[in-house]
Amino acid sequence: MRDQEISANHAAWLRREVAGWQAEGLVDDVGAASILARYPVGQRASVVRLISVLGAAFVGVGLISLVASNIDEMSPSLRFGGIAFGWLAAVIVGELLARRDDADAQRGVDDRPSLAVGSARLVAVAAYGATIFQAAQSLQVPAYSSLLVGCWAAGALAYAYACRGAGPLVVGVATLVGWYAWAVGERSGTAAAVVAALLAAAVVTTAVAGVHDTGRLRPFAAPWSYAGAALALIGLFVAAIPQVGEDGLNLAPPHIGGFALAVVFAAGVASLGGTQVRREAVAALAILGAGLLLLSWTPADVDDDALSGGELTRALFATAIYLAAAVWFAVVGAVRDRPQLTNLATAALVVFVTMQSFGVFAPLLSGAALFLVLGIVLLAVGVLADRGRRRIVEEVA
Amino acid sequence: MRWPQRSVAVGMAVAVQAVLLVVAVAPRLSARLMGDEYLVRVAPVDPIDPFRGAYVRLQYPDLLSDDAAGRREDERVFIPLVRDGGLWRGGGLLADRPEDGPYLACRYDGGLRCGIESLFLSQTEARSLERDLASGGGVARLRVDGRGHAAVVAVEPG
Repeated sequence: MRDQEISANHAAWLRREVAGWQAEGLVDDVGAASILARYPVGQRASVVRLISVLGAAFVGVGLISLVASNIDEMSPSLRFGGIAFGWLAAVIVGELLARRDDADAQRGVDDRPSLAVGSARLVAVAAYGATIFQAAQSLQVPAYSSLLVGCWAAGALAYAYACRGAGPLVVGVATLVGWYAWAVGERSGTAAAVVAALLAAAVVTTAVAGVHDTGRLRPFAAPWSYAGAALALIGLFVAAIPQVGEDGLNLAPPHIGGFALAVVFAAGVASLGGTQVRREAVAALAILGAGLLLLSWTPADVDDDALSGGELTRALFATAIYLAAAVWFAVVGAVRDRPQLTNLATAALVVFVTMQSFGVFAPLLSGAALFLVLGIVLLAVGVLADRGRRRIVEEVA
Repeated sequence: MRWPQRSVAVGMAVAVQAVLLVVAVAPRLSARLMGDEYLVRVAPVDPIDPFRGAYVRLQYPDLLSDDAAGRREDERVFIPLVRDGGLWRGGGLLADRPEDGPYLACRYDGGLRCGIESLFLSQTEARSLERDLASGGGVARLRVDGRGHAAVVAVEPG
């Protein structure tokens, strides 16, 4: 049997388990050492993976920058032809490399997808975006059209699901979230409506992660889950700003219909999924509810020079909600072995507490004193959040 | 050689992507391929798009009046094109699609948007054209199809 590289968290868990088996007499020292040797920590592979992902991402960003630089020595048709050729070539190279991987797996050499396949697919999905932008530039589609990003997102997701590639999925989810926020911002009259839409999108993406909890597409759950957490934490962050709901929610019928669909979809996934999926869907719905409450709560007794009673109560409530949400996502990250989720929640909490502290101390202090107090708060929160994160990871492991 | 199921799925996904590519630029593509040509007066405003680079934002003094009174966001309006010597000008805003004659199909989004507001050029060309248009005005060559989709083909100073 081949060695299999595992994450540092998994390795720590395995060491504890093996020590327990040794204590119970289930395995001897030689057996324990053999088991541990079969599961090396994949640090070196992670570095190589990071380098090749960065390389592919740089090529992708370079292609889009090439479009933006509008090289006038070449005709628009030639530029479009060149970029489209690059996109199709990357797709074909990705498939040819994947076929080689399939052949290796059949011969029992290695059953994991190679880094070259992942890189080619990442370049292909970025080159597809560049092709859309080049076509739009060549045909003089008006600037700042959100439809272009929406089409890139849909195409990236179609490609990701067809080739089952994690890189295209990450690009697809990121562009989908970007397009959604942009499109809602274009059409909504108020900031509160945009925030509410982001929180509803968090419910949907979390539910989609739940759909992928079992089966062959299980690795796709993590990117959807990160998107859900990021949308929820950004939405709650903005909802916590006292004046954000001043102009009212002003939800249009499509918004209300969208919210209803999000709730029904999440409820459906929760009822069909396992315990953890149900918990995550319910938590996303609870965050949506808390966010809507904050958005419709504008303190009446606003004072520009000092914090009023109403503002303080709202700020404390918002802080409690944000703290609970961040801790929840940190726990999900630990339970699911998604350390990036735990890190995202920790960073979000530190930024949030700093922003809230600024709101509390800015009217009371000024100049150097304000920076000193905020610096101390930031340091304290950073240390506490990091200790909390470590405790959660240890407890869950 | 028999292709695996995944490669067939990737081929289908690429076909879907190609369709989305056409959807993203459909009105402008239709205007360029099937539209007729019209010349209208044009004036510049200038910025940059992060994905597509430098462009000149165009205004059409004889064509689009940004009259916001009574307009809803996303409302569709139509501007019939009326010949005025060698150029064309707008014949007012209509709520319903005209039955005959050339017209522009527009949307109200903080101002009238008819798909002809940007001209993408290299940074140097954009700056030079902006200067020329600002000093002496210019004429835009548009192509407009039968459904009112319009595309800017060229802008000539003077």
